Amino acid sequence: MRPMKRFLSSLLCFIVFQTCFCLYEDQIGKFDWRQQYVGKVETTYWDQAGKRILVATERNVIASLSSHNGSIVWRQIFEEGPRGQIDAFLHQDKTLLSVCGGGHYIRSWNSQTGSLMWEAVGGQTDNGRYGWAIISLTVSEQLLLSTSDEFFSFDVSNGKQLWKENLPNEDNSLYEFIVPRGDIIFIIGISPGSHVSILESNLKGQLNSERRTVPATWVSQNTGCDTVADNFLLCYSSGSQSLQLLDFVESTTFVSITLQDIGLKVDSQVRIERLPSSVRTKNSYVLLRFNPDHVAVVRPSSNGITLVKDLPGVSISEMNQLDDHDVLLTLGKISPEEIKLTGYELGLGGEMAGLSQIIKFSGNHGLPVKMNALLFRKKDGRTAHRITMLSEDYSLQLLQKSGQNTFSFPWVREEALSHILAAEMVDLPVSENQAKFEEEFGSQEDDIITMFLKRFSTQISQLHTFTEHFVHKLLGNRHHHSQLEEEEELIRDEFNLNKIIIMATAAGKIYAMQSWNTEIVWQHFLPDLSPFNRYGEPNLLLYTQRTTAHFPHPPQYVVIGRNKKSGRGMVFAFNPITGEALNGQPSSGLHLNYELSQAAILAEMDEHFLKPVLLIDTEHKVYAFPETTSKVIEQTVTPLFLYLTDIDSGMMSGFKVSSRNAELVADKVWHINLQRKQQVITNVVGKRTVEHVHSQGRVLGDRSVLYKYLNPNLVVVTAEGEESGAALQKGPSNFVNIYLVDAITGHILFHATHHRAKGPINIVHSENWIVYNYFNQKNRRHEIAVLELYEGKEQTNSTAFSSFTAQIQPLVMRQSYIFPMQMSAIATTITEKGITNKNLIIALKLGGILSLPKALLDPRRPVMPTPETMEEGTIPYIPEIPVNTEAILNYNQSLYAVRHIHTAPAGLESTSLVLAYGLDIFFTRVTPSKMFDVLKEDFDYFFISVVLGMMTLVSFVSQKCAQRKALSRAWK
Amino acid sequence: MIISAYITLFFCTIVIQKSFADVIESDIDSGENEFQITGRVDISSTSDKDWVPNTKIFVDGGDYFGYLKNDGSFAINGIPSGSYIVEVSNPNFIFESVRVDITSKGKMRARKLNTLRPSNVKTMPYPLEFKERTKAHYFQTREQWRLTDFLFNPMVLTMVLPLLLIMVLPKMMNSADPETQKEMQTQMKALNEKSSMPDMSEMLASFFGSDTKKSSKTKSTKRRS
Repeated sequence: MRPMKRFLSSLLCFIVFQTCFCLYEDQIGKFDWRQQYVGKVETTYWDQAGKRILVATERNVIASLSSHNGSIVWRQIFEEGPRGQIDAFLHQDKTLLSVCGGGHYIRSWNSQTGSLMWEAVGGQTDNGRYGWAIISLTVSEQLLLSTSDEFFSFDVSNGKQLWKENLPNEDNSLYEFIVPRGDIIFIIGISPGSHVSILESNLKGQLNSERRTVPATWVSQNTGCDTVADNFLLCYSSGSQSLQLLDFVESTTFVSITLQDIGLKVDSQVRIERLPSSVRTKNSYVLLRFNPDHVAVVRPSSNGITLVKDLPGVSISEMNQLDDHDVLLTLGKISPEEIKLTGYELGLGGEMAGLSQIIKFSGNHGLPVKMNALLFRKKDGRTAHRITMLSEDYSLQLLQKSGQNTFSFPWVREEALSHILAAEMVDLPVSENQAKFEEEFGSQEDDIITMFLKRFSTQISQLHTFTEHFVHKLLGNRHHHSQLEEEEELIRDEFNLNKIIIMATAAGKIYAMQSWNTEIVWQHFLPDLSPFNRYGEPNLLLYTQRTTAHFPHPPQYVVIGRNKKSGRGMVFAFNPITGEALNGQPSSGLHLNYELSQAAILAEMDEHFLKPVLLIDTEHKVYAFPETTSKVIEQTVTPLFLYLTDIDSGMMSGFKVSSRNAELVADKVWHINLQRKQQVITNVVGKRTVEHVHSQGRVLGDRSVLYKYLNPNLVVVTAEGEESGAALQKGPSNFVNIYLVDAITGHILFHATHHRAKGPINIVHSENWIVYNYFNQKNRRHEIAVLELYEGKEQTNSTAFSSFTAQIQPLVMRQSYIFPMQMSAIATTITEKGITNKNLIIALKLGGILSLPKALLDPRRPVMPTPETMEEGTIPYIPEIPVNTEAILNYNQSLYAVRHIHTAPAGLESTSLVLAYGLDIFFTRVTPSKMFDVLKEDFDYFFISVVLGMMTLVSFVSQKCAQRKALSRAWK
Repeated sequence: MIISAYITLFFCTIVIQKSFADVIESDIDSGENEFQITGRVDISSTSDKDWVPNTKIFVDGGDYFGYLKNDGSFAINGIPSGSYIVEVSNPNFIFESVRVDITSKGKMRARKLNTLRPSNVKTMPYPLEFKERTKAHYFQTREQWRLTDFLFNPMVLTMVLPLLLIMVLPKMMNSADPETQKEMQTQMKALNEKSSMPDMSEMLASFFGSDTKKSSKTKSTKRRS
């Protein structure tokens, strides 16, 4: 019996997988693409004489980029979170070192291939201060590393720890600098509010017992300091607005020099730009930054500080060397579309003609932030310049001399795309003719004659375009044709498969990308836009206010974020096809004068088909955006409800929106206390508004219908906590609570607790089901659970759902399964009409994007299959969900650190579009029920027509033969 | 005797296993010490060394990463005691995952990952040895029309074989022996007279071209009239 059952279930499984989405090998790259990024670049180095650029980024990535086209040569990703945070990244000669996790993990990499040479463990960070370690390489190939209280030395060639010293730390010194000077190593620590201490050590790790302290009461944790050459420490004291200079080799006091003394007239704060430690000791200049576009270069010496150059209007400058001359390179924006590069030869004083130029620079990148130049002489004596430039919008560009002394940017890496926070797919507008058609039927005021005239004119124009096309085709005028094509590019295709992907990023930049060729249609940089960031999860909101369906009104999307400077709300409404600001807004976005706590989009539209966005401030006042739409809210028949979740207090509360004295107010209607002391709310997930449910119920084996419970106001809330009686049990014991809440009435429809379970929890909430995953601590495995809600065999109200009618308690069916992999994001496919089966799209942490049929996660899966369940078509229950490599959508194009998966419907009912983003971006199509509405692309037209032709031929021939035979028989 | 020994052995393993698990669980909180997981990855089915930088070790789904050295060995540092799942991530090959248990004293044990029965212990060598299980198959193969496929199709076979039997066998027998041939002929004649076997070509013609035939007939009748 048992093997029989096994066989049966495996057979059924096989059948299920046969129907799931699979790729053919020749379909690689046909409709899927992947773009790899590295993240916001923090440090850059030049490698292999300018052929490669080594970078370390904020997304815990180190990589080598080709300077030829900006592509990634190799890339290594560290863990997310503090363990993988890059503290230091050092490249000197052939050595490439990275330090992660607060000076804990030191790794040496092969800069050519990106493979690991050695890994060593440094100090333990006990104070939770990450991003702190500092490293330095001495002449004798010795790596020096200092963390908060320890000082290490490693052999660079094999990673062996040579010695280790404890640093005295009784006065909370933060050791920030290591300066090797000949045979002596100076270690400089800062004790906030009291002094600066200097330790000396020799190369064998013997600390000079005597520790020198220099009183400096002005120094604080945020004081900007840097070492210059190998004997100066320069700090900026913000209290007295003066530079403090210390010769830590010889002197024992700080010399205070005000900015006025050296001839600088500035009233803003001054920051000292730190240099990478590998160039610090060779450098004798310091860069002071006053503003994003004002810097100055000073040079400390034993006589004080001399101003080398005051550079107003310059965003970045860098010291470099060419033929033993010190060269100062500066970059500054001189107009919205131009930057100026200037090179000064400091020894000689003048501008360098070959290095001074005005370069075109798109205003969409903001101001330049960092640069790293490589100047060298080629064999023929000419100088070569290569400059990498980082801008405010996280983009990395190469500035290079191309041909006749003109600089240009051969490539740009839009690294903001690895920091996407929200994405939407926009339908392309229909063609002009179709739009006219729409217009004809759209207006209701016209009388019969004008309508007839309109129809006549549209048909004439249709004929016109047709003949034009025809003539072009006949003439075969290719050049003209390609031009036409370019113009026509942004027009919807037959099946509406091509979309424009709108992506809002943490850099405050919005991108529109063509989904079919990854080309960026437009980009718009909002310098003041920053994400909401309350619980370490940055978030931007992106809403569709008007789709492309309402010609001649332009489509309208809106991004809602926080103002970087004031912390208040910021809104930017734009046309997703062109990127233009709408509603008469400034192109830098609309600044609100209140702080936002919540925003929501309504389903009702105003007379221009615009859906209002509700903005709720911290005092629960409600604003409509755009303001003209507030009428819609006042006029809506059904009352409006909102809910807010406060994680800090563990309270969920519902509000009713009403207008009072021409102002919108939210009144509290209900609240749920989710006991903050015991658990923390981790997820609040509603349904997607664009989703359609095609079938109201499910036909069972006995031909009766089980109706789905389709409450559009249902919200899933999860909370996690630690079991209070954990001491009694062995080991860690967490729990996960899941609540289904009606957001209108505050009614808790269902509640379940998973004991000995832990997050992180990913949730999908769609139709009448919820899928979520958790870690089972008891059995140490990941599990995935499904809840399905049914009304029962009778439907209470088939036309409209209301939360206010007597609450029916839905039947909740649930089942859980073992999921053998770990996931980082989960989503479900969505199609135009919701007829197609649903697949779950799961981003696996190992790098795959799995497409899993929802039928495998069905709480009606029977443990013992009966004829009735067979009739219904449910798969027998197997505890483990099989992961099939053929169901991996991205085949061998692994994706790591996926943060979110966005799905969108295409014009074809069978097809759903999938966009996964995180560090990389991946886009593909899925057909959960296969392509049932179009012929397969491998449909053999030739074979079919040959067979048909043969059939007719045979019938003719046989007919002739038959006639002849009949004739001859008649003669007999 | 043997049975009892077996039982005690079984009991022993259970006890050991239990105590091991207890130690792991009770010491997770006080995980002051950090340990190292070491091992090797080897892909023997390709000579291309490109897989080394593309392969990564995931401990607990990426909470800890391990990087391969050129010889395929890896060491992941800074892991507190506990139970971990160690996986190998390579875009082109599939590896078996391993569970590694580390006690608070740093005793390591590797065992086969069994999600269905987590308490089952099947120890594996430590330091870990990862060998590729298969090449990952991401793609379906396209169906192609081949003559052989068509011919060996069971439907075609059931059609063709009887036909062959009917057409070829009598002829073969005919050629064999003149006497039997005569016999057969007489038999066949008898059969032919009785049977109403339709003519093959006629049947086909009536099947495909019935309409045209009718129309031609009507035409001919018209001509006659």
